[in-house]
Amino acid sequence: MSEAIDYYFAFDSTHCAMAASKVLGDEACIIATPSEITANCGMTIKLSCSNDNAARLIAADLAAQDVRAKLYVKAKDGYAEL
Amino acid sequence: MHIDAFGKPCPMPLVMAKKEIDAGCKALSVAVDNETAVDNLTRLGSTSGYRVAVEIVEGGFLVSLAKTDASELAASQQTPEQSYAVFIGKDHVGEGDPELGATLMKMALYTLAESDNPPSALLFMNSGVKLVAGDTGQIIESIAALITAGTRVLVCGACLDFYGLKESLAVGEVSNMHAILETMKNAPKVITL
Repeated sequence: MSEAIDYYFAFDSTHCAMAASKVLGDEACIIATPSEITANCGMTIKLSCSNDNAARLIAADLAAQDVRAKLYVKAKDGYAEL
Repeated sequence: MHIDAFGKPCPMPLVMAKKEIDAGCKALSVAVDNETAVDNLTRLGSTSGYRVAVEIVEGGFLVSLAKTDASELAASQQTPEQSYAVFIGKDHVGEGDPELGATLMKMALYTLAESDNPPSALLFMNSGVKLVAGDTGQIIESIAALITAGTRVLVCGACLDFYGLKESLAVGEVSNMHAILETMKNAPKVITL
């Protein structure tokens, strides 16, 4: 079984980040957007997912509710956008 | 007591050392293979009243911790490097929208927990005690991580009593006005959230 990976959902607006936090519940950790990630909003959600596809599905589900996020993972020299 | 923490990922060396310190160990040496672990152990030793010495050994470092006596401890507490306390007198950051304020508090505590220089003390009063006696997992986890990193967490007992939360304290130690004000007086810098 593969280990869960932390994914970072960076939002276009504070309202989107807070709405996503409500939708995702306690599993979602709301944090200040890491300085390496460029985003319009200062809030990012860190969420453990089993793989890229699972994270993308969550992002798509949020987008269907008009809550749009860019998806990142930690990389060697900062964060890489998926 | 010697701990071989070579190859152990962070925060394992810290957790292993903290366990021995909590058990009352007065002299401890920890072998580690990275500088982050050295920094974490140095901070843990300083905030726990231990004299810390670091020597370079093959493949890494040997961090030695020795319990200081009361006079040495008092002297060291007068000149703590970069030390600061954080006072949290409400369950949100700033004034305005309550939901935004609660979210900002979650973010602030997470950011402190991730910091290379965590506070020497977190002090909770009035509605701030709801944070340490609540069920918000992210907040409890951030504060627990700070405790592991050496932060002392003091929670106003009278405030817990007022809000009916005495039995619900999840992290930190029940304290009082005397200890909280004493900690603020002794800290070179106090940040109020």
